Amino acid sequence: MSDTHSLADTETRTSLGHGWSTTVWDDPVNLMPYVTYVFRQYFGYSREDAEQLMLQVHTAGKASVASGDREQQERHVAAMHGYGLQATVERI
Amino acid sequence: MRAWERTDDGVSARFEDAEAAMFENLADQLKLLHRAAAQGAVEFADPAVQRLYPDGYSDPEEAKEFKRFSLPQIAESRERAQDAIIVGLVTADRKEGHRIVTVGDDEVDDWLRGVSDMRTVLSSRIELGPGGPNTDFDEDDLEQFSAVVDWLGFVQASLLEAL
Repeated sequence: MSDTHSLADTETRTSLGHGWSTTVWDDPVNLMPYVTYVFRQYFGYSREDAEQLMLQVHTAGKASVASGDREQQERHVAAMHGYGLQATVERI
Repeated sequence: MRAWERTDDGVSARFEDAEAAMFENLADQLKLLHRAAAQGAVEFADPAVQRLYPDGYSDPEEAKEFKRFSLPQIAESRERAQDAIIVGLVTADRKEGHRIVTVGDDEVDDWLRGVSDMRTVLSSRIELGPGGPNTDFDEDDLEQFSAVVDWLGFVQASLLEAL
């Protein structure tokens, strides 16, 4: 997958000049396979990466699933809400 | 119901008439809720609405601004997802006591999202317990909601399996 979808560390992302990220939060309702599906379907993550992110949401309570400019993250967050997930735009 | 199965260009499943009627009823309710949300005509203090339309920013001011711009479009898209479910159930192949529902590959996303919303609202009602904002729900109702949430979970999980 391209850089914007990689699980690159914060330093790399910040150094690219993009200061925003999309964080997906755990919720007590949505099924794990559904969350994995959303990450694959919307962001285009591979099955492995999508599952890894889903498990991170599940165990750590949240995961950063994308980063870039602010407008882009707002679109992502809106899409996540449309899928019934809890998500916020965060400053990196 | 029986688990979803692949077809040439989508998936198909058998629903008993009672299940289909309940499913359709839920879709109708969610449709109305999303439409009301799009028009700003919902009670945002309602925990179910808060779950469906959460804040997009941690900061309340930014969240308000974000919601103002993003909500109508999100609500409209979700209402359309419920429509897809309704149409699918209504146009299903009717048999004796059951119906065969087929969903095209291009409609699967709508069904998955629509079911997610149903589970979110029902779960929220269950969490509130009896005597919540909708005070006509008693313990028996909530127990039934719980069974429906599980059933919807099966609908969603088996649909994902069949993809």
